[in-house]
This record gives sequence, structure tokens and C-alpha cells, in this order.
Amino acid sequence: MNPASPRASLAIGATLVGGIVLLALTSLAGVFDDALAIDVGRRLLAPGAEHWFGTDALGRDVLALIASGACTSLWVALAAVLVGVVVGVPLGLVGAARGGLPDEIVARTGDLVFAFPSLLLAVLLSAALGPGALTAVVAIGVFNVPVFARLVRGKALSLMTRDFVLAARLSGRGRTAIALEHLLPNVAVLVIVQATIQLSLAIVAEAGLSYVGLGVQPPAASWGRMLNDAQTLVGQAPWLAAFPGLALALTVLGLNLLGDALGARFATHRSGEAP
Amino acid sequence: MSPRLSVRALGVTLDGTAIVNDVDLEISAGEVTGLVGESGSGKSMTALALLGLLPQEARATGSVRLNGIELLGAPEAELRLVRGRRIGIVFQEPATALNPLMTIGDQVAEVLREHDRISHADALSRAIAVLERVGLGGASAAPGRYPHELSGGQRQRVAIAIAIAARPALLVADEPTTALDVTTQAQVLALLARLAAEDGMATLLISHDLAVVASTARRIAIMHRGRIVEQGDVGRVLGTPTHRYTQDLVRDYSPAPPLPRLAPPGPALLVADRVVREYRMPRTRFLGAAPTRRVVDAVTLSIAPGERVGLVGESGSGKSTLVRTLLGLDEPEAGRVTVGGDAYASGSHAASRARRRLVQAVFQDPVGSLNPRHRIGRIVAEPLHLADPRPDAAERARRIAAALDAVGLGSASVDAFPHQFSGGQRQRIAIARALVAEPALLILDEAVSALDASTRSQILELLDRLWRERGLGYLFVTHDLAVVRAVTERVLVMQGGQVVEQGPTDRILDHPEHPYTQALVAATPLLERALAGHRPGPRL
Repeated sequence: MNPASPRASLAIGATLVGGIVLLALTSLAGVFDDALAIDVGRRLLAPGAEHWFGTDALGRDVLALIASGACTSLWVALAAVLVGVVVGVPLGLVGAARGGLPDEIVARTGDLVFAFPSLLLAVLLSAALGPGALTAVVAIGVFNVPVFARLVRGKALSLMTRDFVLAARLSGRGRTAIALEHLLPNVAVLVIVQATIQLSLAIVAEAGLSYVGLGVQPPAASWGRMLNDAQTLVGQAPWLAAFPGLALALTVLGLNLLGDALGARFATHRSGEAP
Repeated sequence: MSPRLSVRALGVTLDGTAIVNDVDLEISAGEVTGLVGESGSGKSMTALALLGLLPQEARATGSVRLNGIELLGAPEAELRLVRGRRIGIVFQEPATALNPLMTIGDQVAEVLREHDRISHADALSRAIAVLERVGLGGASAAPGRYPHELSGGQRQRVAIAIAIAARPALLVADEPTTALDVTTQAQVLALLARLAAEDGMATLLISHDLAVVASTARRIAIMHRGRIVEQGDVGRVLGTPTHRYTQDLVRDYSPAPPLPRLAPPGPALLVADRVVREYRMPRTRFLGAAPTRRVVDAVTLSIAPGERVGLVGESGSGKSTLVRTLLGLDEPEAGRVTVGGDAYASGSHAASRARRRLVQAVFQDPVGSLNPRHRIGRIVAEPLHLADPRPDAAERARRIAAALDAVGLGSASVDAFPHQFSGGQRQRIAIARALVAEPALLILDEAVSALDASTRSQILELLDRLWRERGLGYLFVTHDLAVVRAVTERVLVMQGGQVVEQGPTDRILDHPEHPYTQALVAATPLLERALAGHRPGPRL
């Protein structure tokens, strides 16, 4: 298998993402509850047979923390991307299908959000809502909205000039019907592929927010929080930084490979239009 | 004299399937040979094999000799020297063949420098000479211009200049004029013929258009399903074709003129009254009104039920904008469009839908006009939204089946997706969709331009049948005068947004009065006229 081939990307991406999801589910099932308990007696143990990834300064098992952090990362990122899709896709469709002022408003608002520093928004939000998972979801979600709105608007605008949209208008179909029946199915693939990429970006963003203390609050575990905790101890216990960092890197890699593979797969499907 | 190019028993297989078989071809110095075939017949693969540019999965067998030197199986380094220096290539789409970021002078000079070690200044001055040879001299096409500043025809001239700069022994031109207007096409073809004669260059002209080849080439090879079924002098092959396929090709190329109309025209169905369409241009000054460009300038026309009308003009003449306005997709800036006496949007919602139902359209691109994510049944059924009352499920299914049946497609295709059909079949689906609403007038916007000759003649036959059986009227919007002659009884000629001439098709095409119409008619490659220029060759 050629490492650059979409099949290899799909296999590696799916394995990595599947592994992380499995880890998160194990944690949800309560398997690691004991290992998450604070026990100063076993603090800062190096990786070994008992604790594969070692323990942290409070004696918690690092593997258990990573599993629990995976849970946080995944749900915050999923919720944030969902916000982006649910708000952004309709905005993009409306912009493209209506044109004129509504389109202008969608496009310019998107520019405005892109121009606004994301961290500043997160700080403002946590001042208003208090730091926490919800703040992270809203802060990351807001920045996902224009990503999807812009993507969908661009593709939908080019679809609007296609003859099948003209034919639909000749059939007396209204803008809503055209947006839902003709534009949406043709942008769906693009949205799915982009969502995978955005998911990886959202996971990094969540880790970043948690790192600076604006994300989930203790005792809930988060990879960003773990990296922050590890900061002062990294010389003494390098595994504290290495494993959450690795988890973050592998998840992002997995999602990106998956996104690439899905993109390539649907692209070949679409070129199948003209056999 | 031994031929410049000699191809013996050339075969090409792609993933184990033979797509070109046993091709023999010879081209002498200074001679233009046409290679004609429909899409998928293997003509482009043959060209790529000559150039050593076949895709990786493809294998070529046989022999390709240029000036006696075997090219097939030669190492890539040697082939690179041959391409460009010994073989020039011109492709269909000049817009994508040129580098948008380089001036045209530099692009021609680059070829010269690639093959001869000369200074940039020398190369540029020689490039200017080459550009002058292809008719790009003078200030209008200075070597410092970029491709986007040129018209399509000028860009194709640049592509030709690049191809001939190094004085190649062989020029391969693959559909070089397909993307151009007829008047530009005639000029580019004349240029190719002149260059071949002046440089003693063997030229292979690949085209799907018999008249294009007949007006330019001396010899012709007809390709069908990967084989050359007939070749020889143009006059002999097209004048007295011996192979069945060639006979069909020649017959399909010149469709019979339409039946005379059966009844005098009744009251007008679709009327455009001094319709004006304007586009807003980018602002030139920060404040102040944006300038407008008039694309359709006070066009008046009227079409009676059952009438077959042609609308001809080159790209940019405002045809497509007018069509969108006639269909009620866009509002005119001035004037009005009426169906049965009333504007599309006037009156009640139901009355407006009833009017829209009467005028339906078929578009040019059989790929773009069908939603790739919808099944055929759903695509064809869409105009039933205009039906009043809305049909129930059984009636819907019946009408879908009837429409598909009318265009010669089985109702089994209802559950298939567009990509499962060929271009011609897709155009049938588009026609079925237009028919399902039971319109009185069909506007066909270049609806047969993208199709092969035989598919085109089938579609024209279908339209003729629908006219006879249902009294369906047509507005054929096209740049192809052969189609206009074949299917219309009245024609309007558009130039610069205005109708410059109109009248019965025979009179307009045989005795055009307006200079533009005369130029258009003169530039259109006609098979009969082209063949008249070839003396009948010896029979085989």
C-alpha cells in the first residue's frame, strides 16, 4: 500500500480516530474511575507495568487521565463543529440562494468574525459565562460558523449558475426548495470533509483554551490542562507532557488523514459523473 | 518523397483493453491530414501515442517514425528533445494551455531558448517574428501582453506560435477550433493550412467536425472504435464514401431540411417587445454610478405556436442573456416579455405558473443540466410542480413514464442516476423533463452543440417527431448554421445585442444581406462547399 494513497490514509486515519474514540468510551464506562482517584502515595511514578503511562503529581494514572481527557476533547470539539454546521450551512445556503443584501450580510459578518482574535472572544465569554466546557463550545463554535458559511456559500454560488438550477427555476421551484433539494445534497460531501478537518482544529483549540485555563475546570480532565500541569514538572517527569501531547498529535493526524481520504473518495465518486 | 510521419500498426491498450487498433497513417511534408471520429473513438489516444504522452497505464505497440526515426519506445530524455523541437502541439482549450502569469512574448521565447542556447533578447526578438507569422503583429497584440488580455482566437494563435516556434517537422492540432466562434475558426484553420505549406510541416488535424477537416486538409482518416475504417483524399472519402460508418457520418452531417410548415402561424405565443438587458460594470470611480453595459439592445421577436425559429450569433452577442429573459428567469431593464399576451409574473400565482408551464428549456451542457444527486424519475418530475392540479402519485408515475417514452428512453431508467447515461441520453432526459410539463414552446440553448454528429442527428430527429406529433414549437439558439438550416423555418441573427437580420431560413442563409450575416455564412464550414474545392481523387 502506497503511504500517500487514499486507502492507506483511510486505514490509518480510521484506526487512530477509532482508538481515541474507544479510549473515550472506556473512560465513560467507568473503567478508569479508581485510577483517577487522588493517591499521593503513588505520585509521579514513571511508566511501568502497573501504570503504563506513569502517574501525575496527585498520583492519578496518566492513561486514565488521557482517556478522560479524550472524552472532554471529543465532546467539546463535536459540539463546537456541530454549532458551526447547524448555523453556518443554512447561512451559506441562504446567502447563495437569495443573493443581494442577505448574502452581503452573511459574507461581511463572516469576515468580521474571522478578523476578531479568537482568544479575546474566549476571554470575554468566560468573563460572561465563567470558564468551562460550555464557554469552550461557544467560543470555538462561533469561529466555525463562518468557516462553513463561507465554504457552502462558495460552492452553492457556483451551483446556482449550473443549468439544473435554472431548470428548477423554470419548474417554478422557489428559493427554499432549490436550496434544500438542489444545493444541499451537492454541498453535503464538502461539509462532511470540512467537518472532519474542523474537528481536528477544534480539538487543538479546546486543548489551547484548557491550557490557559478557559476550558473545562478541574477535576474534569483535559489534555490542555494536563499539559499545563506538566509544565513545571517536565524535567522531572517528562511523561506528563509527552503522553497528552502524543494523544493530541495522533488525534489531529488521524482526523486529517480521515478528512483527506474522505475528500479523495468523494472526489473520485463525483468525477464518475462523466464516465 | 518519403513521408515525414509514418505510423505502422499502432495499437494502444489501456489497462488491458485495446482502445486503438492497427492504425496506419502517413503524412508528407507540407500536408494537412485530418483525423475524424466521435468522442471515444480513440483519436486523442492516437495523438498522445504519437507524442509519447500516453497515460502511465497505457501501452503502445507498433511503430511511429518521424523523419525515419523511431519514436515508440525511445527513452524519455530523447522524446523530450523531439517534443517541442520536432513535434508541435496545439490543444482545444487555449485558455488552459497558456501560462496566465507570463507575457505571450516570453512564452514563445521560452520555447526557443529551451531548444537553442540563445540570449533572452535574441529569443524575444525571434518570438516577436513568430507572433507576427501567426497574425499577432502590431500594437493590438504586443508581446508584452498577458493571455487574459487576448480573445480566444488570439490565445489560440499564441498557442500555435508556441507550437511552431522551433519549426517542428510535425504539428498535431487536437480540436484546435472547437472552442472558437465560426469566424475565428475559419481564420485559425486558414492559418494552420498556410503554416503547413510555408514550413513544409506535416500537420495532423484532429476534429469531430467533417467540414472543418474538409475545408483544411488534403487527406482524411476516419476513425471508429479505435480503428481507421477509411482514409484517402478528402474529396474521395467524403464524396464517395465506401465504408458504412463514413456513409452514416456524411449523411448525419448534412441533415435534410425541415418539412414545410403545415398550418399558418396563429396568434403569437411568446413575444419580446423591445427588451433591454444591461449588466452593471465595476465602478471606475469611488463615488458615482457604476457604468452599465447593454447586452441585449431593444430586441423584438415573436414566436407562434408550432413555429420553429432559429437564433444565431457568436458568443458574446447576447443570445444567452436574451434566452434567460425570454424564459422569465431574469427581468428586463426595459421592454417586456409576454406569454399569450401577459407577462410571466402578472395575475394570480396559478396563472403565472400556467404561463411558465408553456415555455420550457433544454440547455447546452448535458452534464450540468441534471442534478448529479437526483434519480432520473425525480429529475424528470420536477416541472410537475407547475401542473394544476398537482398530480397524484399514480398520475405522476404515468407522466414520467410517458415523457421518458417520448424521448426513446425506457421507464426502467427512472431509478438510475445521471452519471449512468451518455451525453446524448442525458440530453434526452433533459428533453423529457421539459416535455413533462406539456409545454407549447421549447427553447433549446445550444442544446445539440456538445453532441457528436450521429447523436446530434438522433436528437434532431426526435425534436422533428415531437413537432409533427404534438405541434411543439422551438426556438433554437445556436452558433451552428447547419443545425439552423436543418430544423428551422425562420431565423434571427444577433450581433452586439441587436437583431441585425431576420427572415425565412433559406433566404437568410442563401442570400444574407447584413454584412455580419454574410461573414457568418461565409465563415461556416460547409461540407458541400469544402468538397467542391477538392477534385475527386482516384477511386480505390
